[in-house]
Amino acid sequence: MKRALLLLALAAAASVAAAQSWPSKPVRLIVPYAPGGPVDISARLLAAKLQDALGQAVVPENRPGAGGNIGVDLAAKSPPDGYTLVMSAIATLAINPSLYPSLPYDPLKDLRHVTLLVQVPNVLIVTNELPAKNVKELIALAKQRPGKLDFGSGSTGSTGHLAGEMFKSMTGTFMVHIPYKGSAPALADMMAGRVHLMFDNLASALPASRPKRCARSRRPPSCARASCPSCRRWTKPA
Amino acid sequence: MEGIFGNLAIGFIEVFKLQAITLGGMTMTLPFNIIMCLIGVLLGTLIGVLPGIGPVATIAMLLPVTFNLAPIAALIMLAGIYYGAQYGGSTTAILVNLPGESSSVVTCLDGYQMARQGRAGPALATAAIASFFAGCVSTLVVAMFAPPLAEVALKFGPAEYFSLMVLGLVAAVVLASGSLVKAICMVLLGLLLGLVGTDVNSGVLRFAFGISEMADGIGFVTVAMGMFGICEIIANLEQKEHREVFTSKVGSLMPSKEDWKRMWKPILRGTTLGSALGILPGGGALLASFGAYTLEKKVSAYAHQFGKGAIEGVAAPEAANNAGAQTSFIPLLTLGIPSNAVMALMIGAMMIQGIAPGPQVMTERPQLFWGMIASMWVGNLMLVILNLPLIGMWIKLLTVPYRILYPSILLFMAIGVFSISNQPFDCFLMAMFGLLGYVCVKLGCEPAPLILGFILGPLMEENLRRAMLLSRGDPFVFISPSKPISMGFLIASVALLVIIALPALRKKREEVFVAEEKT
Repeated sequence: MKRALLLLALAAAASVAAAQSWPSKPVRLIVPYAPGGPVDISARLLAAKLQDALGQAVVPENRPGAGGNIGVDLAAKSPPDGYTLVMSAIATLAINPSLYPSLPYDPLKDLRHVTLLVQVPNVLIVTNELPAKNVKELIALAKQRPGKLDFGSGSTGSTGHLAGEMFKSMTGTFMVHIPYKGSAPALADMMAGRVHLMFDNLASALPASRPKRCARSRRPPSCARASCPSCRRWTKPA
Repeated sequence: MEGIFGNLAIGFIEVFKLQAITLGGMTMTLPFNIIMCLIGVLLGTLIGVLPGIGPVATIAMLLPVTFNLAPIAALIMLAGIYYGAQYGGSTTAILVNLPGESSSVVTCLDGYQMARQGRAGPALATAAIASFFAGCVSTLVVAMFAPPLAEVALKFGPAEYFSLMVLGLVAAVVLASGSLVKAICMVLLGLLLGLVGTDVNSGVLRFAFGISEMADGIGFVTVAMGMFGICEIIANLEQKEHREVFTSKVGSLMPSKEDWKRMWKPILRGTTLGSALGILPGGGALLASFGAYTLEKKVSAYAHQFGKGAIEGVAAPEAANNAGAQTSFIPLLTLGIPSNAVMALMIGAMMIQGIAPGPQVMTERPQLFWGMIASMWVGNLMLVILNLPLIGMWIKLLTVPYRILYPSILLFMAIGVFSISNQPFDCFLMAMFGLLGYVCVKLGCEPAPLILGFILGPLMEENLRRAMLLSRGDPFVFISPSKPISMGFLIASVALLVIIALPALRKKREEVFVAEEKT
């Protein structure tokens, strides 16, 4: 499952007329997450480069809260003059509209999408304690021990959680979802063998899975195979 | 041991290395890394002193600056900001009862009382010395035992965390210097406040009243600044212009011989506890300062003075929070797991520089790893040299007339709270907690147990439910023989409860009787 992590969306109806002189004043780049996360770091990398290219200050502004909804809503309600940009992720554009009963903005109507910035793949990682050596064995194990395996995720409704649920429904297995507050504590529990597997984005899973003693991450080709869309391909013949 | 010295030598050489730096067309040879360390700790002290403005926002803002630096220089500077902030945080806590950093909430309790007695100088000096000692020792701990300690951190699962929180909560009652019943009520209120926000398991919003700003819960800094800072200002204004002026009775700046005698043991205990709790992911330094205070209050011969300006109450938590700040680098450096938001930013900084954090950093880039550790030592030394002479200047702050001082404090608090997530709503919330704090003071209830309940509550619930989920609903998971750590904590909690419930067993039982009569 390729996770389209970041989309740069512009407040709606950016006027084309202003395009000639744009930007004539500093541009605000809203980051709907707390400082330090992958979205924030990408935003700061982007702002630094954008600033050089545009000759105007691009100021990242963290507006975390409510799963990113507060920041995106702020952008949606800003004047549509092209001076408010927002870093969006799959959560604020696709997941939240279906998860939150009332979202204050409409990602399709209130925003204009500029470009796809970063894609971070989700990888399937398992603890070393698990006898399964590949996805096939993992599915077999899960079928053999229904309801005995645990899969962790950074939060309820995250891509990691949804990927896990998707994996379950595609393979006809049953595993228990254990939600955490962020990937880091989930990874720690997985390294200790308390949680068996996890779908996590590569950026946060990589440091933990590099050493051989910890979770094992497969080499990129098989990594892609373990991820969901190809997993579908992979499971059908099985 | 020889290996350690060899490694530290690599580190110190790296820190003091002379580099050719081109600045504005001029090439100079400078010990660049050490300059970055100085800049880091200076900045850290500054943001530590400013209430509410924390290292997370600062490091995030400075991240782009580090893109063009060498990785080692960048990390040395960012680390300096982090532990520098722990130093500076105690300054306003002691002078105006305002925690500059979340981990200095506990320092308010006795530090401010010391200042009221004209002993702000010794209190500040104690804080600096305790931090310095703890910083040096815990850096050594990081250097020598990082890998084995990381294994210990991994032994802490949901069950162990839950039991640790139970112990912490029972101990929270001890934090109060007044009535036991009121302390329990405040802990419960804190637990309830901690429930606000999105439930981790189901994603359902609880007690948010449809306010999206409350979807992630109430901020710790918001509560702490309201209950301590604003509340203190209201209480002070109550007494017209008769605010206590400490300045007339400012004594010596340095601790007396008696003070030294009283503070070295608490510093040692605080350092030990802080180093231990710091390695646990999730608010280690914060828990460490509360834990150290509680421990001191239990073991100190001066327990009756706690909350009334006991120097132990400053020395132990200050040592603990600084030790915790240093050892929280262990999970980052050895496992690649960030133990708090600052560490997550450090991982980001490393990745931008093309370094994958994790155990391989130690072997693949020894200069970077040991250079960073050596820089922590140098940084701690710089901090104490910087901070001791500054004490005289900080004390002068108290001579500023209150009518000028308190609006500026309010302003800084508002800026600080706002800067955390750029939400105006948080400022209003802080004001409301100020009112709540004032009501509590009038009722004779202390805010410290509430704050601890507020921190522990969500962690406790989260880990309880996770442990139950992992055990598929088996409540015996907390006392199963396969979890000796968890069982140990629970046994300790029961023991502590018995001690509190049976005052006859306590050494200072009259104190408890007095407390109970008051209720």
